[in-house]
Amino acid sequence: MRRFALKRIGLALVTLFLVSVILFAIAQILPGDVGRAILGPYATNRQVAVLDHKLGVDRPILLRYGSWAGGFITGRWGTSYLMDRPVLPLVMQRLLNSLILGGFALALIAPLSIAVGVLAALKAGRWFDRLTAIIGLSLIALPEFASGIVVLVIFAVALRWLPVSSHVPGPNPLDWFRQLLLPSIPLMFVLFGYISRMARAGTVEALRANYTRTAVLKGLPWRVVVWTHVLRNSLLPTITVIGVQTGYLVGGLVVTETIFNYPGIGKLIFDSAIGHDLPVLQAAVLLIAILYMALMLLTDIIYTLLNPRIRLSV
Amino acid sequence: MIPPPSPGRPSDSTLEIQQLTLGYRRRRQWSRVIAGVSIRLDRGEAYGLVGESGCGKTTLAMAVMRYLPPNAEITAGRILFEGQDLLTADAGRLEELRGNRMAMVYQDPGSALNPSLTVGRQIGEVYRRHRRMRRAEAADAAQAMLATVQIADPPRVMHRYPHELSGGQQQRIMFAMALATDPDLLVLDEPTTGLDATVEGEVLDLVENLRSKFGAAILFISHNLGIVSRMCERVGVLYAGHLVEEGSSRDLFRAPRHPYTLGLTRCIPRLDMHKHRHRLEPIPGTLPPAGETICGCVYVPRCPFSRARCRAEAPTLFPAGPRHTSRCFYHDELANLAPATAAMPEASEAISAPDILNLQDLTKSYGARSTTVTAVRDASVAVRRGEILGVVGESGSGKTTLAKCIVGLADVWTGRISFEGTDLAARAEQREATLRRRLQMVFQNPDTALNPSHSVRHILGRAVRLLAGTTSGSAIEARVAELAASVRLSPRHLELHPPALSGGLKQRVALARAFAGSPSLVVCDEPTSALDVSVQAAILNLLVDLQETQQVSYVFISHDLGVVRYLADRVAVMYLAEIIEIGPADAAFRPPHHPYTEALLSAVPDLERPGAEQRIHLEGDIPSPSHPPAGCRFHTRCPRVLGSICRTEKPPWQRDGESHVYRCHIPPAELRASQFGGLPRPAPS
Amino acid sequence: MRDAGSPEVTAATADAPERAVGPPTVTRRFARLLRVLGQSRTLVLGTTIVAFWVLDAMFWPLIVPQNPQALNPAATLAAPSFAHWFGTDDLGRDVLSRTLAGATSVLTVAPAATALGLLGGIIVGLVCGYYRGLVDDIVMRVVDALLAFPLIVIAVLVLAVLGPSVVNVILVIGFIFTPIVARTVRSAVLAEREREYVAAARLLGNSSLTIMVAEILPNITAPLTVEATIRFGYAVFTSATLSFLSLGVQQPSPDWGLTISLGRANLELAPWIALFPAAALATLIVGINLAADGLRQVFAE
Repeated sequence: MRRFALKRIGLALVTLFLVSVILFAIAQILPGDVGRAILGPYATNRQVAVLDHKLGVDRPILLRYGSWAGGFITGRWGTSYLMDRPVLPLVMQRLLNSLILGGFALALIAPLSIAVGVLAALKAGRWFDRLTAIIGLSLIALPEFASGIVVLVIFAVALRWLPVSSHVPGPNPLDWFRQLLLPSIPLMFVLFGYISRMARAGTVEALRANYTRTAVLKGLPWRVVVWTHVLRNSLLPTITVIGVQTGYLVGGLVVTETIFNYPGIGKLIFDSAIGHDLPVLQAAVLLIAILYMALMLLTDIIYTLLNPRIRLSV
Repeated sequence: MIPPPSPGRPSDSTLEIQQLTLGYRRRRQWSRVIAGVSIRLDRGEAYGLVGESGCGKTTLAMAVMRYLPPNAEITAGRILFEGQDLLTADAGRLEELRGNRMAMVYQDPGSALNPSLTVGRQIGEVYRRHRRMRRAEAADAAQAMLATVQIADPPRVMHRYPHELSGGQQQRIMFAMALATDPDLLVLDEPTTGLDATVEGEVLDLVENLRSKFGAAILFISHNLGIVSRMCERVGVLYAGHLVEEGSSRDLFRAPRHPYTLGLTRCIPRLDMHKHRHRLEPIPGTLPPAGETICGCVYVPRCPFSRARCRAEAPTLFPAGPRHTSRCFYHDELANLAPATAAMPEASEAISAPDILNLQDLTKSYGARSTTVTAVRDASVAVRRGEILGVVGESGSGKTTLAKCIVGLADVWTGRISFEGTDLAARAEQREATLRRRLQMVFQNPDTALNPSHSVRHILGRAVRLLAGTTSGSAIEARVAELAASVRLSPRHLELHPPALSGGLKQRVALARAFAGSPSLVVCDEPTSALDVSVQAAILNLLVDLQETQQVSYVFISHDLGVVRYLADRVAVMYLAEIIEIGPADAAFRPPHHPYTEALLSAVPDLERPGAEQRIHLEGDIPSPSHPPAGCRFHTRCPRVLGSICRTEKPPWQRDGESHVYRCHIPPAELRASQFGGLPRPAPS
Repeated sequence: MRDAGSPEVTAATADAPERAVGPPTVTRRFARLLRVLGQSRTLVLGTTIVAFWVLDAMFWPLIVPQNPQALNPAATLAAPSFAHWFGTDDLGRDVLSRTLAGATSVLTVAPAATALGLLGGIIVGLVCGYYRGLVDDIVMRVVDALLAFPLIVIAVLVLAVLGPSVVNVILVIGFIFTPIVARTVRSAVLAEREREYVAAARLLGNSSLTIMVAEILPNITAPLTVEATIRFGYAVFTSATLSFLSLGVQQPSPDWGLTISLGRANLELAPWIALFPAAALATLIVGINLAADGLRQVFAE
């Protein structure tokens, strides 16, 4: 087991290295001259050269990469070009905000989605199943900004139940709902679609399996068959999906945060990309990539621990 | 005609199926799968139900357990279990009966056990549900049951998960669960299909053993006539959903009274048959498609005895002897049929021809560093021109890997393979095109051996173009037609795609493809294992014919000893990656021979000698190829183990006669004295 | 008694498979395909919706009530009425006409981007899945690295750097899709290459390229088609999102994402400006996903 985990971590580190290289290439190399990109076409060459030197982008490329990567690992993430604040606390704070929003959405919708998916599988082919399938499908399909806009219009503009812009909530639970409910609705739509679908698929497959037939023909009551035999096997793939979706919640919320003006890391990435604020941009993107891979790793490990077939051969 | 049992008579039968008719509804069409079947099982009786794939036997078993898919409809008949009609029983009653008074064991035990629960827990469930035991009590009872089914070290196995156990052990667990409550009825649906021959023998021994302890009536479903004749007192033959013959197992197989049963017994190679002296008689045609309403007897299209009356009228069951019935108007005539085997001219016995294929010290391993598995070790064997070398072995023996190395599908190996005098490179791509075309292969699974997206014409055309080097379109067409004719495909088949063909037809196409370049050696990897017995006979005949007309050699790999005995001139026996015996088929299957070969032979249930007295028992399961035993690899299971020499030293080659060798510490003279059994000589024509 | 020597001839003719009714010609196969596809209601429904929008994207000049670009300062921010079914926007343009016309831009970008992604993904997936070994390891590492970024983030990054334009959007989306498609193709190829017909093809002496394209590729069309349809849905989704973020097509195009973004400013006063394009977009994507799901059902049988 330990060897398995170490091997996966090793692979993840290699991937991480590749991620940092790709990121660096896109951010630093693609625009050509960084100073020019920031100052625009009307600045003089001398002004551009001064800025370039100040930013350190006139050094050889390997050196730049090295100093950036080294700085990242040691926690020296630099200063924002646009906001003139240290990058590390800024990015961390925003990340935390996004995690709060994402966590809220997940906590609300995950149990419901699993329950709906399992129920749909148990009544496969009937109206409940069809209905939830279509609903789930449609909800996945809606772009967050579409559902976000609709929700905004209905609940914030028309009914005025909830605020149009969302702030990070205080400790009061009621405040949590007030601030986070609207922006989390588009997220919950997407999550519901994926999680319920996978729960359903896993349960359908388990119901069809030979071991379910064995359990029924042993005379076990249906309740016991479902609870002890079916669900144990059907929920394993669902865990993987939850893991992947949580990864999406980290950093994929660009659009939702923009619509609701929520100060999360997605919005930060967007703003810094537009504004060519490279230190913030690179740090933020690398951070979410790391988090995503850590999440995938964790999901893999949990899955392996729970699945006796793999656990014992590893 | 046998009158149906009158209702109201107290029956002491355990199971009575009365005129059951059932079918499936798919997209508004109803196809009948079981037609008016009546079977009666008395208390403690073992009844075998035989038939080929698609005859409805599994459906019947599921009907008895009332576990049919939702689109199944029972349109007539009753199923009485100890007098009560199961078809009208409600869910609660069924729950009480299942696992308690009636239980079932299935074909694939690995998938029938829940992978996430320990074995002990799964057995314990039965006790907790039906005997109201507490968890601890149930665990004790489960452990005791494990001992009853002869599992070694029950306390440890209790905490194992199913996938940690071998196939044989898994099936024992299924028996433990089924017999936990001493049920009155046990339904066995192909319980040993898929298990290795020696393991199968052990499991069947277990069933016999358990019969003496538990008094359950057994409904034993199988396609294997030998097994059924060994295990069951009475047998019923199912064809296309109809019960066509029923009787005691001895009478039925010795003197069948229905053309289908006769056909089945004639198309299976028995251990005393050989290709030069006997020809197998396949059953022409195929099963009628499900749901087709047939006027007259259902077997007419394939029956060599059919007459006008058979086409017009559907026969009922006629008495053909004491407790023996047959659904044939002319069953009397079959009684008078002489046991027939088409006489063939005697071919020359010894094939003395130059070697065409020579393996020397072939070794192939998979995996790296700590997880290396040696699939084939130091294999050395030769194949002569025009001869058939049979390779037998169970799982883990390495026979499939051997085949792959020969044709070039294994990536890297050590040793030497020379073919027609030239040393072969490891991979097929590295070999010369001329060599490739003369060395071809036929695969096991006809469903995946042909590309489903290509038509037969395309498949054969490509083979001709690549193997024979023909470039002109018309020459290719001509050759394709020639090939199709040689494997007896009609021109109509050329336009079809593999999914539209039956298994037998697909395998013919595969054969034609292999022969496209006029090969001199064809490796056949279990070519008939996935086919029904009636189709298998046709393919075997085809293989024999092709060999004679094309002067080709075969390396014929199989786990089925009967088929190998029939087909092969020489035999190589493999066990755990090593060749342990080589010799003429005659000699290898008769003492003196390797103890493993001896055990393998005794495990084969044969119609001619059901319930052979001296069955060799092998202890334990086949060791894993990744941790082979030291010394002689067979010593962990060998009933003739001498002592520490077998555990520590690799056995030498012993020679018996000119071309018969085997690896053992026991010399031939000693074996000759203590081994008996083996095979009868091939019956003279 | 029938001559036992001719059973094989009987076998050949009696082996009649039920489905063959004469050689399958192209038209007959096509008709059968349509019949099979028509059995899934979700597929039919989804395809109808998509077809509606495709036709609209091509022929909207013929059906719009007014010119989508026509400014009408007198009637800005007008609520839906008989004259303007969907109301007007802040420049007095008819929202219905703009909604109908907005389909074109998304239905130009999405198919092109999907095709690009499919092409790249198939090539990469085939090569990695068939050859495996070192090439596979390296390429899949890179793929994993690319997939560690949320889609949107990469798109934003690249477009912020390259500048917004229709061509760039197509390139970016195509580039992002390649690893995703490659993953799917690769796992399908991995399954197929173990089958014995591939081994038989090797024994015949086929080159690797022939095996990949002529043997394996025809047998993975089912998962490929489903994947292509799903990708198409995502392409619509992503291109609309990018134009929402002002990274795609620019003003004064009636593109839905762009219109929704502009409509945000007037959400409280005139929600219809953003609402109707959002609804239109939603129906298109739902239609695509229904079709994808229907296809998957059909192939599963």
